[in-house]
Amino acid sequence: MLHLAFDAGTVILRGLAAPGANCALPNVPVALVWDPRIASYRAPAYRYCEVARWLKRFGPDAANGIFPKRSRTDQWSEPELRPYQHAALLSWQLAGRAGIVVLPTGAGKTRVACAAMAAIRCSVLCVVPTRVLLHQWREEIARYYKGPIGCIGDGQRRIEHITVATTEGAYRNMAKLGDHFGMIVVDEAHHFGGGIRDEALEMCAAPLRLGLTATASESVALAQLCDLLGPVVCKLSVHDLAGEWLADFDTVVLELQLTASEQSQYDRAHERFSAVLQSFNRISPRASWNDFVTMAARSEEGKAALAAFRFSRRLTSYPEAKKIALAELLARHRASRVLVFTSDNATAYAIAREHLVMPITCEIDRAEREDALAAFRAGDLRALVSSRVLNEGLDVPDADVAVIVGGVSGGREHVQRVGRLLRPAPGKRALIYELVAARTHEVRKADQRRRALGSTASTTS
Amino acid sequence: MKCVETRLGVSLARMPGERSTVTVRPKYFIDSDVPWLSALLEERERFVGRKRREWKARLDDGLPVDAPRQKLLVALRVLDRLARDAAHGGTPARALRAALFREAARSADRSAAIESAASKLGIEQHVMMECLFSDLPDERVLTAISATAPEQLALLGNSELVAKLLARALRVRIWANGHVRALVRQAKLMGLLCNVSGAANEEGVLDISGPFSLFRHTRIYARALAALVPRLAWCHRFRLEADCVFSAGDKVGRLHLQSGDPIFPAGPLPSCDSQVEQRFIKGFSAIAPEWDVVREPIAVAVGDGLIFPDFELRHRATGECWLLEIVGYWTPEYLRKKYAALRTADIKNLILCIDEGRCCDEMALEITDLVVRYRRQVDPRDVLAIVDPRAHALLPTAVPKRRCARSKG
Repeated sequence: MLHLAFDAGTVILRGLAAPGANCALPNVPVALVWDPRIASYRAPAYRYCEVARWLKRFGPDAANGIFPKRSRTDQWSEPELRPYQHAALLSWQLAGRAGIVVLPTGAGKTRVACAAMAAIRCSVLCVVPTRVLLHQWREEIARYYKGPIGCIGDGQRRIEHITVATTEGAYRNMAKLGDHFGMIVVDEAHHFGGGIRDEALEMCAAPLRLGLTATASESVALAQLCDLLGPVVCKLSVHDLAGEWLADFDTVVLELQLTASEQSQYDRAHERFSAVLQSFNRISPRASWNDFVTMAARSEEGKAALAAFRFSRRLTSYPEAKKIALAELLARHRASRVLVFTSDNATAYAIAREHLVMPITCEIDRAEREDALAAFRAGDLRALVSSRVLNEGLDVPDADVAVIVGGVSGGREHVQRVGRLLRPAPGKRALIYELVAARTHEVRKADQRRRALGSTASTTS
Repeated sequence: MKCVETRLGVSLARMPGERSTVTVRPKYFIDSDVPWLSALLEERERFVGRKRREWKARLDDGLPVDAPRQKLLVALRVLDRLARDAAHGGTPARALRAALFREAARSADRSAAIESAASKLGIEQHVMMECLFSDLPDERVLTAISATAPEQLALLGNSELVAKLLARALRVRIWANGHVRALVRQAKLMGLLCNVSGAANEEGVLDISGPFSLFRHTRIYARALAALVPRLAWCHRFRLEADCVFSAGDKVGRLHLQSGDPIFPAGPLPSCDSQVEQRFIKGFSAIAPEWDVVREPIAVAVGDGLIFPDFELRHRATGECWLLEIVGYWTPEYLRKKYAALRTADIKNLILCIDEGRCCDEMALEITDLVVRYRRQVDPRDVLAIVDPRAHALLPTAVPKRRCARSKG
C-alpha cells in the first residue's frame, strides 16, 4: 500500500521499494528522490501535484494523506472586474490555475487575486513582502470575504481558511503549514526566484498557484519563478492600460551636461573601472557582477576599481545640472503633488535640505513616514523625496508629477515608480521627468527604463 | 530562521579543511594589535562631539598605523557599544521636520519658510537647519568613552568575536569545574535554554540551545548567550564547544574555547535576583505568610541531569514542600522533555513558571499541569492555587484570578 504524506516542507511516499530493488518499478516521477534515512521516496512539496497525479494510477492501492482539511467556503462575493482583469483571470484558469499575472502598479492585481480566490473557494495563503501590504491585503480581501482572515506576521499568528502572511512569516512557518492550503497567492512575485526565501514556495504543497507582479523580465530568476509558480499567463504593460484604465502620462527625459570638472572626474573614474572590468570579462565572460565584486575585493587594483565605480555613481547621482533642473521643476510644479526619486539616501537628504521637501527613507521611522504620507494625501506637504522606500510596499497617495533624479535597479524599479502616478482620475495626465547625466552610464539606464515601460519618450537636452 | 551577519564570523575564524564539521578557532586580538588599537582610541577621542559621518570619512582615509580590516571592524563595533552616539540639539529632529516641511508647502520662498518655522519653534534658523536630521545615524555625534586601555579593547574585541560566532550556534556544551552553580545561575538569569548534568557545584556540564536552533528572539537570545562567556573566567577550568552554522547552512564549524583563552572576564555575579524573582518573593510572602520561601535550594537530580530550582516553598506547620523554577526562554519541545524527565524521576512537586513572551517557537504548548504562565511577573496567587488551594480560596476575590493552571486529571 502506497501512502503519500506531508513532512516538514516535503512530501513522502512510503510503501515503494528502493530504486534498484528486485521488483517491477513503475516510472517514478523525477521529483521523487530516494531518501535512505527513512527508506522512502521524498519530493519537495511544490511538486505535490505531479506526484499525486502519478499516484492516481495505483487506484485503491494508494492513499493520499495530504490536504485532509481542504474544504470549500461560500463566504465569498464576486468582485467586479475590468475587462483586462477578466482576461487575466481567465488566462490563469486556462493555464491550469498555476501561473503568473503581470499587471502594472495600480491596475488592480489584488482584485484579480480576490476574484481567483472567490472562483476557487478553497483555503488560500496569500504571501506579501511587507507588513504594510499584509494589512492592505487583509482589508482588500475583507471587502469580498465575510469569514475571518488569518494573519502570519507583524506579531500575529492566526491561521484561518484565508490567511495572509509576510514572506518572512511564510518562510518560517511553511515547514509546518505547507499542507494547510489549497492555493497560494504570491504578491510582488519578482522578489522570489533565486533567493533563500524561495524555500517558502518550495515547501508549500498548494496545487493552485498565482503569482502577481508588475515586472517580469526575461531572466534566470524568472525561469526559477516559473518553476515554482507556473508560467507567465498574462502580461500587460503600463502603455497597454494607460489612458483608459490607468492615468495617461508623458515622459520627458532631460539629458543634462556635467560641468567640465565633473565630466573629467567621471571619465577618469569610469576609465579606471572599465579597464579592470574588461580584463575580468575577458577571463570570465559568463561571470556575474557579484563574481566581479568578489574578485575585485581581493586585489588592490580591484579595490581601486570598485572605489572608482562608487565615485562615478556618487558623482552622477546629483551633479550641478540636476540641482538646477530640479529647482526649476519643483518651482514649475508648485501646485502639483510631486514625488522625487533618487538613487541613494544621501541625495534624498541633500534635496530635502535644499528644497525643503520631506524625505521618506528607511532611516525615517515608520510612524513619521505614515504621518508624512497622510500629510501629503491631505495636501499639507507638496512633495516627497525618496530613494527606494516609495518604490513599492507603501500605500502612496496619488501624485501628478514624478522627477527621477536617479535610480539603481533600472527597468523594474522604474515601472514600480511610474505606477505610483497612474491612479486614474478624471482629466488626469501624469508627468514624469527623468534627469539623465549625458555622456555617462545614465544614458544606458534611461534606455533600459524606457524599454521596461515599452515606450518612447521625448528627450530634451 | 533569522540570519545574522556572516562575514565577521567566517573571516575572523580559521576553518581548516573542508569536511562537513570543522574546528573553528577565533583569530584573537593579540599583542601585535595593541599599537593600532591605541591609535584608534586616540583618533576616536579627537572626534568626540563630531558627527558620525565625519568619523566614517576619517576612517575611510585609514589610521596612521596599519590595521587588519576585519579586526578593525570588530574593534569599531566594540567602541560603538561602549559609547552610544547622541542626537544633538534641543528640539527633536522629527518635530523640526514636521514644522519646516509643512511650512515650506505653504510658502514659495525658502527663506521665508525657514524663518517662519524657526520662529514658531522658538529656535535660531541655523540651529534648526543644523539639527534637521540630527536623529539619523550618520548625523548623530560621537560621545566620549570612559578610560579604556588598548589591551582592554583587545580583550573586549575577543569577546565580540566569540559572541559573533556563538550567535550562529546550533548548540553549545560547556564543561565547567568550580563555581558551576554560579554559572547555572547566570544562565538562568539570562533565560537560556539550558540542561545541566554532573555534580551540583564542583563539576557540571551545561547543554545550551544555540540561537540558530530557535524560531524567535534569535538576536536577543544570542546576546544573552554571549553574556555567559565572560562568566566562564570565574570557573577554575572550563571547556566550551559550540556547533556553529556558516555559509547559509552549508558548513558546520565547531568552536572551541577553553581556560586560558584571552576572554574579557566578567565582574562578580550580582547578589540580587532578577526583578521577576524579587517581585515573586515579595508578593508570595505577603499572601502566604505561613509559607517560607527558600532561595536557591539544592539541585535536584533528574535522571542523568540536574535541575536547579529557584525557590523552595516550605509550609512552616506541616513541612509540605514545593519547588519552583522560573524558566527563561523556552520552546515547547524543551519544556516537554523537562516535563517528561520530571515524571520519569517521579518528581511531582516542581512548578514551572513560564514567560509567555519568551517562547522561541511557533508551536503551542499543550502541557498545563503544574505550569504557571506569566507575562512580566509571576502572579503569586497562581502559585498559591497549586501549593495551597485552601489558602488560595480564602484570598480576597476583588482581584480576578488569572491563568491558574493545574489540570484536574
